[in-house]
Amino acid sequence: MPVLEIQNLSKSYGTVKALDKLNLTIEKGNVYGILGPNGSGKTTTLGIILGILQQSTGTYRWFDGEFGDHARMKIGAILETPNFYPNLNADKNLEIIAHIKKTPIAQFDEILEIVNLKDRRNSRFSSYSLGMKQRLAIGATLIGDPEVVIFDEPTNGLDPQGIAEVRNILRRVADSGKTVIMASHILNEVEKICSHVAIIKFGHLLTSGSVSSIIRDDLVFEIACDDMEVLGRELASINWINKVNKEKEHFECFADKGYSTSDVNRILIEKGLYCSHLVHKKKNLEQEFIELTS
Amino acid sequence: MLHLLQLEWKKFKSNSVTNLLGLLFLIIFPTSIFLCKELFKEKARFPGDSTHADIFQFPGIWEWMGYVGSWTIFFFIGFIGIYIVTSEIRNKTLRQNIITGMTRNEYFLGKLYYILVITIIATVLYTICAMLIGIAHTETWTISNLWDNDLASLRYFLMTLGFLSFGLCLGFVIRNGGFAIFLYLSFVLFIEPLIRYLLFYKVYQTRLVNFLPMNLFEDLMPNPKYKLTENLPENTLPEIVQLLSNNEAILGAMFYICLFLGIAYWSFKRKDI
Repeated sequence: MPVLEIQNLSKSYGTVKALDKLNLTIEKGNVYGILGPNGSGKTTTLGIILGILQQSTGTYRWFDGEFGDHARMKIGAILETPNFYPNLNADKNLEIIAHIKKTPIAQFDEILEIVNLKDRRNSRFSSYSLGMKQRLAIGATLIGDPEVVIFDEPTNGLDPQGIAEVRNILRRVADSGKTVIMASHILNEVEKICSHVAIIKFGHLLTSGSVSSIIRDDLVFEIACDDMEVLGRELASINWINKVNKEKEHFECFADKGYSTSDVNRILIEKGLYCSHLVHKKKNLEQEFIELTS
Repeated sequence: MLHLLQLEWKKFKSNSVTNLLGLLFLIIFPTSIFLCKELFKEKARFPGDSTHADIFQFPGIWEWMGYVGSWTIFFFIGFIGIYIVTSEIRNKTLRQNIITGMTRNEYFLGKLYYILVITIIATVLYTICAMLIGIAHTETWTISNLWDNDLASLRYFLMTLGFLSFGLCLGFVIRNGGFAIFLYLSFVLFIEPLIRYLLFYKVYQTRLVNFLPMNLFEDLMPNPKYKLTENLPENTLPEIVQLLSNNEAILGAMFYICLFLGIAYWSFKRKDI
């Protein structure tokens, strides 16, 4: 069952088109990463589907329209920054969230335990570090046991320790079976956590689907030998190698899928060339992302 | 309704700004009337001038207490109307409330209920204070002359709600707390009086200028001394200093309250948060 259906969603700020006819469907249980460079329209998309921005055209529908205007009661979300009442402590702030969601307040202990804030629960929000604020925001998304949780750049501005803490919490949430929608720049994290991704740029959807389907299994390898000039000519003559980049001490080659580094090695030996360096580079989401968005 | 009011209470019950403004109002409003005791110790200086007895006895106490209240409402309570919106915009808790699950209608209604409760509390305080001071200073009072006050509590209620709805409107439309407060103060103290003056003397001499919103709210509880002009011949004063009748002020205030709340709602519904 689709949890969220977005159809032809567009948003303009004057002459600037922040989002242009975006279509996206997110199924129940997906851990969905929304990727894109700065200004690509990620936060705009999340802002619209969370009701704080008005779309110029297009529609979106949560839970097949089952909950009408109150769909957000079934969603836990942080958008951009943690937003709480600065003069209130963690408990009081979570109480407000629970009050809005009309859920009992008995589960705060568990939530504060998960985000490691139990010891500071009585401190004012304004006294928290950025990492603590971010952790409280993640904790707040869990109130009312929502069916969907949305994180927008959850590790933004955090130090390495803070990133590690937030990463662990996100993994726990993703492993709990909830539908997760996450916009992030940290692509290796997205690759590890998400089952599906959508990549957008300048408000256009470039691609979407499961992570494994997005990462193409083309062969990419680094190669070097004593005579780099001859090696360069020989690599260029192999018709299943599509691109050869000259790096400082080696060539980086992009080849069709179905071939392996041993195929390259065999051909070069037949031509009297012996490799001093041959490394099979596994493509990851980051490389795919850079290729698609550059 | 109760759910939304409880939510507003959770947000602002320990907020130092709203608590300080509320406390200042609660202290200054009932006590400031006693300053008049000093100011009006001397006897009347001219026929019809206010005396000690006029101020503290029924029915004069209703008007004087209301007039003193109008200044304290303007300074302390009107700011609350601005603050409860702009502080939430500044801290981005407004957007978080919507993200968490409130609809924009619910959020707006929460603010509306909150200013209504503040208005009711202020009106009850006014009514109790005026009654107690009046009873203590009027030698012979009866239940009937005690309430002989030309709907004073209703006028005070509308005046309070008027300033609060103006503040709320500026909060939702301007969104920046500092600028909204600056505009609130300057509109009441300078801009509208200047508009009245220019319209009256430069464009067309009509008493319609008295129907501008802030003047109209003030005329709900005007300085009782202005009522002295009612005893003077019609052609001795320009119409600009004459007061609106109670009925005119009540109906006009209702109109402006609806207008300010309508603008606030329209602006909130159509803007990105």
